[in-house]
Amino acid sequence: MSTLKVIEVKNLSFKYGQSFALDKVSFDVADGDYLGIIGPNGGGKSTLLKIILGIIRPDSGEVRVFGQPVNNLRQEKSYIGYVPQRLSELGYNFPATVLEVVESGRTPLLGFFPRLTNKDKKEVEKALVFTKTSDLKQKLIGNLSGGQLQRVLIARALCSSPKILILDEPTSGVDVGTEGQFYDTLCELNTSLGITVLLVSHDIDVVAKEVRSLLLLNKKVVAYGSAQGLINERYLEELYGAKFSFLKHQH
Amino acid sequence: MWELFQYGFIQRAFLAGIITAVIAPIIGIFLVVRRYSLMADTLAHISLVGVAAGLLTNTNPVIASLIVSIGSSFLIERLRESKKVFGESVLALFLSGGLALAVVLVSLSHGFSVDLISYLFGSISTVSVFDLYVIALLALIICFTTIFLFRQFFIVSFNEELASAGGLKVHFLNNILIVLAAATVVLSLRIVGALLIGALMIIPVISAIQFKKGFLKTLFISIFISLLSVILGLLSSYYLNLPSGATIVVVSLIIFGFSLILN
Repeated sequence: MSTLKVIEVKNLSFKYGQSFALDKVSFDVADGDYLGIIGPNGGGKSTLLKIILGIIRPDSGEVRVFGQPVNNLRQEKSYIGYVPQRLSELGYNFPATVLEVVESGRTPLLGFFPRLTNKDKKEVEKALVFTKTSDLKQKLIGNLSGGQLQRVLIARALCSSPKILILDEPTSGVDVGTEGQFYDTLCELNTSLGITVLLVSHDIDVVAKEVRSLLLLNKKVVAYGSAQGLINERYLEELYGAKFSFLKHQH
Repeated sequence: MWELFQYGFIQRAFLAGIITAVIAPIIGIFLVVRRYSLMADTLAHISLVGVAAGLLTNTNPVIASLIVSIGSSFLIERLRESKKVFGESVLALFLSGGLALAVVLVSLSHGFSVDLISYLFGSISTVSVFDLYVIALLALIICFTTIFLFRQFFIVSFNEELASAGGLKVHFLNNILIVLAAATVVLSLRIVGALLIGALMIIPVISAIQFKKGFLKTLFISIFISLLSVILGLLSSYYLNLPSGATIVVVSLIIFGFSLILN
């Protein structure tokens, strides 16, 4: 992990109506980091990701990605891969094959020229192979299981060769076995390809095991640092406002 | 059967019909997958205001309805995005409001009710050479714009959040799509009629979706179903002396029934 900052968040605030979703949030993400973001429901995790992605604009503060304000990014926007929390019902029933959905990850790179080049097709194929979804490519996305769909969305994010991968609760509704494979894939992306990963999850156990750095967020930054140092009862009580005790397995 | 093509009005009707049949599902598929199906009907009702204004002021009704429909399409999108009114309520507002305004305009002058009926339900005998030029020009614009923006429209329709995260201009693309929908409605006015164009943009697409194919294949199946509906509909309209729009839509409904049974 280098010391180069790929994401800089400074004094970020965002309100829904009169209530703060984010209140003066600041932190940096180093190139190659694997950052987990945890916090209670309504703690502003998804809002934070949407601002980093440039989907919504903050009320105040600034987000810089690759050293530039996020809303000024043009071609560089394609270096950010995004896997949403879950597809709305609309997306899930969409009449499209896996291949069409994965290919759409190249769309922002194509501009007004609608045809995929051989290079585009190779990147799509590489992403399908990496996520082990090649055998699904002619299937309709509405016929996939939750785990298959998440792998397809990762393939879609990967085919634009991202430098940052942002995932919002990617394993909600996915069974435990599939969840394990999913996190193995993320780990490989981070360690082998050097992709910076930002993962929002409600699952503290998984986050503690998988990520390198951790941001505890409840509208404000409760704590930010190495994952090992922050997964303890004191911080989690402060974050969730409830008593925490860790069960120790005997085996 | 071929002898009927010796008449100029039949040649023009078939040409206009075939163009309409190809274009309607190209835009219709994006409306259907985004649950915007009612948009086509809303724009069609609004286009009647343009038709009535055109007839009242002696301007070409197709041109007048093009201006009114495109102008209103921006208003609809603006109001929907403002979230001051529920999205479906905006459509209901413009749908009823458009029809009401058209009826008021018709009532102001009593001389063109027969003309108006042909715009309501379509007529194969009224397609002029000028109409055909307008239809062909609109079709070319719609077709080329959609080809160039096809992948952008696809991802915006699939998931706006993913499109926005990828840097696509979602707001701009939504506006372009609704303008193309307005133009499609106008080019279909002569053959299918304002009250039935929504059906030609939607029914072939929902029939094609029953075959459970990918997006591009679904689009091609939609165009095929739409062409079949228009050609069979126009032939039936000529031989049975029925309004063309209604006959085309009835044929497309029968095909929809078959697609449900087959799948």
